[in-house]
Amino acid sequence: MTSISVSTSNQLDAIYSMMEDGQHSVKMERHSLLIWGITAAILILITDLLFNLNTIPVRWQLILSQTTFISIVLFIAGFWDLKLTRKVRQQRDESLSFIQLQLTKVWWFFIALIVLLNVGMNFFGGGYMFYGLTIALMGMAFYIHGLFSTQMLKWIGLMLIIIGLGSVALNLHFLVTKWLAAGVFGLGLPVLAFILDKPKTHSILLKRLALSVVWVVIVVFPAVIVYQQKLNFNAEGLTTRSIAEYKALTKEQAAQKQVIHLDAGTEIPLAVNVSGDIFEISQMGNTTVKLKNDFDVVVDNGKANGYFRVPGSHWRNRRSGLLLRVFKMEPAIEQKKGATVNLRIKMLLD
Amino acid sequence: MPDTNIPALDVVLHQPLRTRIVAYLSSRGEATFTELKQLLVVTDGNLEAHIKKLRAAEYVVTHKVKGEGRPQTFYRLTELGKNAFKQYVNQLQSLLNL
Repeated sequence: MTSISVSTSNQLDAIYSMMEDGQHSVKMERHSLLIWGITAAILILITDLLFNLNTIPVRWQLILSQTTFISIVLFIAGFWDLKLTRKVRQQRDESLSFIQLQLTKVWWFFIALIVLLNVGMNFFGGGYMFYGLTIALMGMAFYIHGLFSTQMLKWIGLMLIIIGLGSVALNLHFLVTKWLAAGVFGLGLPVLAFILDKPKTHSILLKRLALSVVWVVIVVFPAVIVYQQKLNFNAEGLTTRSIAEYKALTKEQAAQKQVIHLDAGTEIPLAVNVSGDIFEISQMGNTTVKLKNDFDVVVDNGKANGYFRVPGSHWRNRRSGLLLRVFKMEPAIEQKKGATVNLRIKMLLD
Repeated sequence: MPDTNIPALDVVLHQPLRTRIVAYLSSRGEATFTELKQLLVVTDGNLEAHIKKLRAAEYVVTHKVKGEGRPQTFYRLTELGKNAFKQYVNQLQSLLNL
């Protein structure tokens, strides 16, 4: 090899190395993870409390106000993040690279996609997947950033994608995915913010794996605790009465918190209210359903408080412990009977 | 007798430090003085001297941005600089193939 070719090859190597450095110039700031993580967790935990059918009974108004609220909060978070990023970069006399500016737009596309997903699922269903998909989408956004960065963003992205898609694949309960998302964003991202710029702590695969396991335990912990609390409704100490005994109580006695036991085979009147685009509001009477098993219902202040159980099983809440599946809904025209609508519904314990 | 097939290399770019500055700016878009100094591990005076040469050749331009703190100076390649760098890399590659 001639001396000129050695020098040439060295020059080319230096050029490629510098170009690679330039292409990996994306740097996520610590405050960005804190701002986005905490904002997302707060939104996850308070949006349903502020905007629900009790506070805004008309569905489209509910979705519109919820979306407006989420968008405003996210916009403020984004603006604050960008302002702080520019400020710290200026203090360190660093610039925002061209790639980083483009990736900020990609980030916003992902945020917009999540907001649209929320709107779409509110209208068309599939909401049980929302939090899982949100975690996975944010994971993709991190992974894309990681492609142009030397920070461990690709690793973070992969972990989020696995957790998000895993929660969808495992068909985790909506409440669990909600708290999982709150944990991932509210605890997980702030924790990552403090290890993001410590290359020594994530340079070795084994260390990185150990850190990831600790991280997963931290983010999963609140979801497990909250779900266990929901499951561990305690009805110990409450008097259990049959429906006949309950009917015989005075008004004051009936107002006490108690458990009403219904025997298997008990026939219960079913009130069905059908409305919508096809039917006038119609109340169906004279329909009864028969209990397959014994059934306990908690009554408080003369009303069922939502907790129930099949004896021998744990207490469930009607909001999260029941699944209603419509298996069949078809209109039919028969020569002798005329028009009928056949509806087959299955009610399952979750 | 000189070999007429060997292309004449750009004297401004054919200097290790300047090559690295231009290569970095070509892929990153722009950078500040501090970023270049940290990346190349050079003294202020050394970096300043090389940037001066790149500016004199009109390969690099600077622009200042005033913010809340002290103004920042950004360096980026001009179209002339980009073309010269492209040509320089092509020349190096053709030299390597000789």
